[in-house]
Amino acid sequence: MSRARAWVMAALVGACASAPRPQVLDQAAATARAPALVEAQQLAPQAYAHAQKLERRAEQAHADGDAASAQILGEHALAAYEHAAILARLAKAEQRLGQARTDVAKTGEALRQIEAEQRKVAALAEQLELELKVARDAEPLSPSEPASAEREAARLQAAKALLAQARLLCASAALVGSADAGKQLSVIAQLEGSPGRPHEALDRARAERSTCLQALTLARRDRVLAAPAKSGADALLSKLSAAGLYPFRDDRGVVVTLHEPFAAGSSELKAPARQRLLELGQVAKAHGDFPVLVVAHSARAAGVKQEDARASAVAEILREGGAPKVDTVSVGTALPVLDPKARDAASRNERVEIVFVAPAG
Amino acid sequence: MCGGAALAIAARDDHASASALIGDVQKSPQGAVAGEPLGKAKGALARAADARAAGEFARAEMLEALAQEWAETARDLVRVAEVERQASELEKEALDLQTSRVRAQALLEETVARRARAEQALRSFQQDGGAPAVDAGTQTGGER
Repeated sequence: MSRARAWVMAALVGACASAPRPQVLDQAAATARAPALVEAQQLAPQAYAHAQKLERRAEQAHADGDAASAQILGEHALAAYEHAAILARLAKAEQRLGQARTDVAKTGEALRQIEAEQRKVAALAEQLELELKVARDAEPLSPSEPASAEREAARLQAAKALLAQARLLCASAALVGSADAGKQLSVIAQLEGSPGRPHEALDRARAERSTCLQALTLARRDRVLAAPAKSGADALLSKLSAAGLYPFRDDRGVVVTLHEPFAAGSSELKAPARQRLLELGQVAKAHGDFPVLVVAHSARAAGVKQEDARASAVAEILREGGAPKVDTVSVGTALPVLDPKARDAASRNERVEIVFVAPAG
Repeated sequence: MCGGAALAIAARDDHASASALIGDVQKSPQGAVAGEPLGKAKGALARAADARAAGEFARAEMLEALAQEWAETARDLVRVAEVERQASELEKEALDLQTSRVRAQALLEETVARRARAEQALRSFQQDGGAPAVDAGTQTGGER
């Protein structure tokens, strides 16, 4: 017997017999009272009303003796109640989603505000700590007493190194806008010309270095406080590292060192050094708020003229590459990396430092 | 006559719409969650086909409407699963952000205290012209 014929038979039997109440009608009535459906009345009222209407139609069909319709409409009412419950669940889920979106937005904004405040307060704290450190360093030490000739010679050498460091710090300070640095550079030049007695020269050189560091720290203060998160030194360091230039940081900013960039005995740049300098000029152009200080170091006393010519040659190529603000300093042999008497010292000591002076610490 | 034609069109719409919905739900990645209503929708469609074959068109239409109801229920169940998943993810994100916010607030309070110590130390140093009463460099408790 085919399924269609069976359907007809069932319908005929249903029509002839006294129709019992379909079980599904009781199920629909029970479902309508379930807690989920109570909620659905609030959250999905149309769907709930649709289910109720179907339930009433099913009851009517049963009352009319149409058992088949009562069965199908009862099933439909049951499906509609379940649908209403699902829609209520959907409405609740959407409420949760909306609330979660609001929470994420609000909490995220609050977090951003706290982080911004944190950067500001941390920058101020660091600046104050630095100022304290610099102020302490500038405190006069107990004056040095005369010593043996050998000791005095060592002191003189140390004084030269300290004065060279002072000059680099003051030149950096001048590049980031220190008004006092220029005057200090004149004082340093005088001291370099006539250092005086070694033990006194050492004390004065130490004081000059502290003064220059203080000038650099104070010159940066306003920018640090105005835009604590915008130092940019980390990004610059990363960029230079990625380019294989082995940069490092010190009080002045971010430093790249080029070893033996000149042809022997001349101020003519070797081709690879020239290329590197052009690239560095482009980096300086991209980080225009970092002025560049070129520092020429010699391995042997070559004379002021040649050192200046070398520093100028480097500055010229950097400008050609796009560096907007460049200054030069020659420190001669005052700051060697290795003891000049050591093996291969010359190749390490003769170098040019390209200092990207950090405008804000 | 016209009413009968309209009913026939509505029934064809329910059949086509239910079939299309069933296909869509089955294809969706979260279709598995709607296995039960999908099964009931397919069952109702099969019964409708039988009724139609037997010439019971009114019954067939009612069954097609039932199939449509179950198919829509299946579709909405899939939607519920997706929205609940999104809500859970966002709630977790909100909770993580809240934790970060509490930590950030604590860090800020520590930093404010650190700044105050540094200010005090510098002020003392400048006023006394000597070593400050509080050493900002050593009192920061490892914050630096």
